[in-house]
Amino acid sequence: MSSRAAYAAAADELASRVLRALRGTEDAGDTALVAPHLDSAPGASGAPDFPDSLDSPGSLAALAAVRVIGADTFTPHVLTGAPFHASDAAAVARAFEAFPVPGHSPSAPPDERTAAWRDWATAQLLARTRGYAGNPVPATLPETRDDLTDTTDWQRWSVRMAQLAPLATPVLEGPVRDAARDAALPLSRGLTRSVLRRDFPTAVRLLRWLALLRHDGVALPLEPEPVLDHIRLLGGAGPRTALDLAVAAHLLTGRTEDARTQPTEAPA
Amino acid sequence: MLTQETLRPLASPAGPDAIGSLMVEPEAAVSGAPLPAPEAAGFLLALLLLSPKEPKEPKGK
Repeated sequence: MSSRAAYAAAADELASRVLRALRGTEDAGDTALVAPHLDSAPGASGAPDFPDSLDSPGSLAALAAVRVIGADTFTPHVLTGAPFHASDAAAVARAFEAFPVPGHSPSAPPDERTAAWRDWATAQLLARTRGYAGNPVPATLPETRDDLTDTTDWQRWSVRMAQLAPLATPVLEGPVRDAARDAALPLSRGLTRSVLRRDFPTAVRLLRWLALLRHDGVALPLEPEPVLDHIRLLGGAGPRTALDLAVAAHLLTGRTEDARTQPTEAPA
Repeated sequence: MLTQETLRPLASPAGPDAIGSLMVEPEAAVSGAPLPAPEAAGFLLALLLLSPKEPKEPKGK
């Protein structure tokens, strides 16, 4: 199995873990989230701080998954108030140490700038973790010559915003969110285009931005709820897409998607 | 006496590239219409090919 395939599988596993915590099917309040992900990796020594734990490819893949999922790792904490344990923060920091943030020049290609924004979001949320003071990543804004407000080429722009979907979270302010706030129409166009192309992973990432705008009280040119239902029926297959879908549903309704389908107890 | 330290690389050189590509996934290619049972597509095609020909108008009438 190639590195990429192993990292993708580990990222799916971590996304499933985060999703279970978000839905409340895991004891998110009592147990850690990221540290057990590293402990349960094939070949792990069971102690994320132990240097030898990096010897196994499974442990490396688990750490890479933390870097890939990034800011979404904090989703249960951000959306439902579930505690983010110090051991989880240490595990995220360990992932940054194993896979350091690459240096980005201001004129780096768009993909590198997008990754820099995602790393910034993770570092921001890690820096806010209470009781943890070992952040290995500076939470300063990336030095990029990005013009995220130029939506002339809305097709390309909306794909880039989809890649920046982990930043669509209520607690993160910054230039990316400001750009989204002023671009409800390009985001809606991009979402419609993705649904028509049946590119549901991209569609649900754009839906996250629109759900955040609705959460912020911004008027939208389309109704996001029917799109949510449509994607849930046709495109919510993979764990990472399912996590994006759950975040969008939570931002729109204040509840996770399963909360609407769970049977309620009949009155006595 | 000189001591020799062995430095072990933390991750393979391909690791950061793989992480970068997973973080910045491009949009998917346009896909065809969804089938209720994709595994049955070959069976449906075989049925189409093996179906009997259209009946011809009988001659001499």
